[in-house]
Amino acid sequence: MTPLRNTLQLLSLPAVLLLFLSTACNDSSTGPGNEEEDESQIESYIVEDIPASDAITYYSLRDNSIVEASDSASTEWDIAFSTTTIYTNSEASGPGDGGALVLDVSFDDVTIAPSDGYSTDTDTLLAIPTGSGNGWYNYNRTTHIVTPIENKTLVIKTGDGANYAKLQVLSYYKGNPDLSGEEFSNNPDNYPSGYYTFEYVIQLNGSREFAE
Amino acid sequence: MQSVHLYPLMAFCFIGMLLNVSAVYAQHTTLSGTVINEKNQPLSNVYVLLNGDLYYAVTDTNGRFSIQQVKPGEYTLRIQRIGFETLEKVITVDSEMDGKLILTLKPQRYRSKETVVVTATRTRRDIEDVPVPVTVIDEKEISSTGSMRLSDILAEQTGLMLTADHGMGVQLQGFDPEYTLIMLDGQPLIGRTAGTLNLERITVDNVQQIEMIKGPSSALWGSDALAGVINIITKQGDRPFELNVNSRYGRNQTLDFGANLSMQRNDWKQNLFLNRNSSQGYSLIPNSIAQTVPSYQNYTATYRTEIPVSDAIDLELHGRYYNEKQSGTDYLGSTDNPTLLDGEDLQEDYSLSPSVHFSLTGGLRGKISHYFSGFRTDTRYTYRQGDSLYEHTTFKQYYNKSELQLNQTWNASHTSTWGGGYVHEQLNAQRYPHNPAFNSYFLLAQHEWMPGTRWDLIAGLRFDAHSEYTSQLSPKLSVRYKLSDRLHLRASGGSGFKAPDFRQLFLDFTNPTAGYSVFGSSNVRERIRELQEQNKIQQVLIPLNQLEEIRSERSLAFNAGVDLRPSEGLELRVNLFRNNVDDLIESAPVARKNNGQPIYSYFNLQNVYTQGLETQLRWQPVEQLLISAGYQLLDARRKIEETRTVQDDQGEVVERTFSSYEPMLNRSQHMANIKLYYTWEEPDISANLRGTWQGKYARFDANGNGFADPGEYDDGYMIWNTAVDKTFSGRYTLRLGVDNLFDFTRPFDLSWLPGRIFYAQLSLQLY
Repeated sequence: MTPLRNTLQLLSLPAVLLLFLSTACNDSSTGPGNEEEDESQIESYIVEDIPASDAITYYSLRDNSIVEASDSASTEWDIAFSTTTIYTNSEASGPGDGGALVLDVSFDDVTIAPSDGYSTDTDTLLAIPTGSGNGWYNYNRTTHIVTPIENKTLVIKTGDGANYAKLQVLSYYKGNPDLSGEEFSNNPDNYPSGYYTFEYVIQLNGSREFAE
Repeated sequence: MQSVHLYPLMAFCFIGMLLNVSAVYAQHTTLSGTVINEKNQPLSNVYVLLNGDLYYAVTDTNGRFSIQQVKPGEYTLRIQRIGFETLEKVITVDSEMDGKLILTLKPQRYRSKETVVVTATRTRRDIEDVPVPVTVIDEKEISSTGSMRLSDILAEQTGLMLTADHGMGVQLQGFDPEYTLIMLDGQPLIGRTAGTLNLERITVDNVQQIEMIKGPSSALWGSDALAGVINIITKQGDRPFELNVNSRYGRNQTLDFGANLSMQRNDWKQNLFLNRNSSQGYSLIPNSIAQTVPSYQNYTATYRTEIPVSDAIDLELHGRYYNEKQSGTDYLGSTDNPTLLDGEDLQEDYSLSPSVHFSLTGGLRGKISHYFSGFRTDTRYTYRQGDSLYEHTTFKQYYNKSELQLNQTWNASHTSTWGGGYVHEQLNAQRYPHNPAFNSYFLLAQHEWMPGTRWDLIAGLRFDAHSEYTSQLSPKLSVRYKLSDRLHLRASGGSGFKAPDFRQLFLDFTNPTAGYSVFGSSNVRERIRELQEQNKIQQVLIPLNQLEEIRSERSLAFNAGVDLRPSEGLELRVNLFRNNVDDLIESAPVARKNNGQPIYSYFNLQNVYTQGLETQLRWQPVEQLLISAGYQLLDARRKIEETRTVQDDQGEVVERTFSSYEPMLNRSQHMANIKLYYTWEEPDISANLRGTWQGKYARFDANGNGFADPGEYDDGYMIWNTAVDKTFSGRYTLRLGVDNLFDFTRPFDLSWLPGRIFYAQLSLQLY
C-alpha cells in the first residue's frame, strides 16, 4: 500500500518566478483555465491497493496520499473510494469545487483536459456514474468479476477546483492480478476485491495540459 | 337327353382343366441362383426379393437360393445383406434360367455410393444431384462410432460445436443452437428450453441417416431454419421380418438398450422401436454437492407404419413417446453450510403424425399430413430435511400442424412443389399465466429446372404469417453446375428466419427475490399500464406508444462450393459461406418500478455476421482404408455500437457514435477432425480412430463488454475416440471402444465431456 512515485519534476526557481509573475499580471485568470505561460508541473503516479471495501477512503491526488476521514469535510481530498463507487469532492459528496468527466479515450491519448463538461456529485447522479458499463468498470453477472473498462479515462477536477488530473483504474483486486489467468481463478481468496490500483497524471500549475 | 347335353360340357371342362394344368407347368418356374461376393465366395443370409416382398428367399451357406412358382415375366430383383450394398436388377424370368443366375454383391463402404436425401428439396433425391450442399451421416458411421444419442455423433462432424446450456445443443456455422431446426422424419421436434432443443433426447439407435443442410432453409422449412436444418431419418426395415437388438454398457453405469422390429407383408410395412438409456451421471469436480451430470433414465418408443390402400394411395403413421427422469442434489446457501435439496426432473415428449400420400394422373403427387406433438417438464425440489416442497414448476407445450404438399413433375426437366399449412401452438406454464397460444400459416412454392444434364436450378419462396408478429417472406435460389464428372460447382443464396418464441412474446416473470420483471413483447404494454394504474411505476424509459412490434430474426446468406473428385477414391468438398443476420432479439429495460428494479422486454437489437470456409476430404487409398478429414474456418462477429465521449482537436468534449464488428464469445475460429477407418474383410473386423479438434474459444466474457477480447480465450483441445468391432456370421457384432482416449476434461467449461469412457456394445441381427 505504499504509493509509488514514478516521476516527479521539481520546479526550477525561474519557473516559480515566472509562475508568480504570470498570476500577478493576469488577475482574471483564476483557477482552471489558466494555461498560458505557466511552467508545466506534471506529476504522474501509480498507486497500489487503496482499500475501499470496509470504509470510504479519501484521497488527495495533489499530495498523492490518503486523507484521514476526519478531514472529509475539507477540500483536502479530491476523490474518495467506496467499493466500486468513486466520489468527487463536489456538491452532494463534499464541500469542494471538484468534479469529473469520463472520457472514452485511452489514458495516453488524453493530453489535455477539456475546459468544460465536468459533472458534480448530486443526490441522484455521481460525476463518475455507478453501475456496470456506466462508469469505469464492467461487472460480469456470471463470474461476479469487476473489470476496469479499457480506454476509459477519468478527468478529475481537484477538491480545491484549481487543478486537473487524469486517472485510470487498473484493478479492483488486491495485488492487481491477471483476471483471466488461472492463478486468479484458482485462488480467488488471495486476491480480495475492493482494492484499487490506479494510475494518474496531475497538472499542478492549474493548466489543462497533461503533456509537455 | 340331359346326358347328351352334358357330355360336350364335361368334355369342354376337362379340356379346359387340361389346358389349365399345362398352363401351370408352362407358366410357373423356379428362380434359383447363387449370390457371391467380389472374390467369388458364396454369401449366406442374403435376402433375395422379387417385386417388393411378393416372393423372397434367403441364401444358404453355399450362397444358393431358390424361389418357386414364379410366373415368367419381367421382375425387379432386390438382393440385400447387412454389410453389403443393396443390388437391384431387372430380370426376365423364363424356364431356361433356373440355377443360372449369379449375383455379385459389393461390400458396403462407410458411405454408399448413392445416397437419397429429402431435406434439400422436400422430395427424395440423389445427394449428388441437389444444388444445395447436404451432409449425410449414415447408419454405418453412427454404428461404427458406438454413438447412442444425437449429440454423440454430431460432436464429430465438421463445423459443429457442442454447447451445454439448458441441454446439449449444437452450433452450426457459428450460430447458437436455437437457430437450427431439428426434425424427426421431416417433422419439427418441439420442447426447447432457453432456445436449446436437448439433443440427448434423441436416440440414434434406429436412425437410417442424418441429413444436414448448413445455411438458411426457411424457404422450405420455415421458422428456426435460420442457420440450417438437421433432419433425422429413422429406419424402415426392408426385409419381410427383421429384429435387431443393440446394447451398450460403459463407464458411469451408462446402459443403452434398443430393440428394432420391422415387418412387411404385401407392401404393408410396420416398424416398432424401443430404447432405454440410463446413467448414474458423473462429477467432474471432486467433493461438490451437485453432480456435474445427474443420474437419469429415459425411454423412447416409436412406431411407424405404411399401408398401401390402392395403387395411388398410401397411408402413413408415425408415433413417438419419450420420457426421461433425472434425479440430483442441489443446495441453497453456501457450500460450507448448505441446505440440501433433492431434485426430480421429468421431461416428456410425444407426437403422432398421420399422413396420406397420393398420386394423381399427369405426374402429380401429393401428401396431406397432420402433426401433433406435446412436450412437458415437471421439476420438483424438496428439502432433504423435513421433505417439504421448495419449488415445483411445470411447463407444457402443444403443437399442431396440418399441411398439404403437392409435387408436379411436368417433364424430365421441370418439377414444381407447392405446399401450405396451418400451425397452432399453445403453452401451459406458471411463467405464462394466460396460457398463451399462437397461430400461423404458411404457403410455399418451389420450382426446379434442369436445362440439360449439367445444370440444375431451384427457386423457392415461402410466406409465413403469424398472429403475434410481422409476416415473413423467405426466398432461396440454388444452382448446380457439373463442369465434368470430376468437378461440380454449387451456389445458393437465400434467407432464413426465426420467429420470436413464446418467451420473447409472452413471458410474465417477476423475480421473487431481486424484484425485477421480464415481460414478453406481446404483453409488455398491457402489464406496464396495469402497474401504472396501481402506481407501481416510477419511470417509463421508452414511451409505450413507441414500442414497436417485435420482428422475426432474419438472415441473408450465400453459400458457394466445389466438389472435386480427382481420382477414384478421392473426394474433396469445399464450401464458402457468409450469413448476415439482422434483428437478433435481446432484452433491454423499458421501465423502472417503485422498488428501483427494472422491467425488461424483448427488442430487435443485434446485428451479426458469420462467414467462413468448410472443407471435407475423403480418401480411400486402398480398399480397406478410409481417411476422412474436415476443417472449418469461422469468423463470427456481432456489431457493437456505442456512443463515446471523446475530445476534439482543442481537447473539448464531444459525443461520437462508433460501431464495429467484434468476435463473438464461445466460437472457435478453427475446428478440424480426422477419422481413420480400417476393415479386414476376411475376419470381418473393423477399427477406427477419430480425432476432433476445437480451436481456442472465448468462454467467459471476463470484462463484460459483450465480445471476445484477446485475453479471454481458452486453449483449444482435441478429443480422440476409438472403436474396434468384429462381426460374426455377418449378423452379430461385438464392439469395444474408448471415447475420450486421453481423458481430457474441463469441468467448469465443458460439463458435457466426461473423462475417458470404456464401453462394450453388442448388436444382434436376430432375424
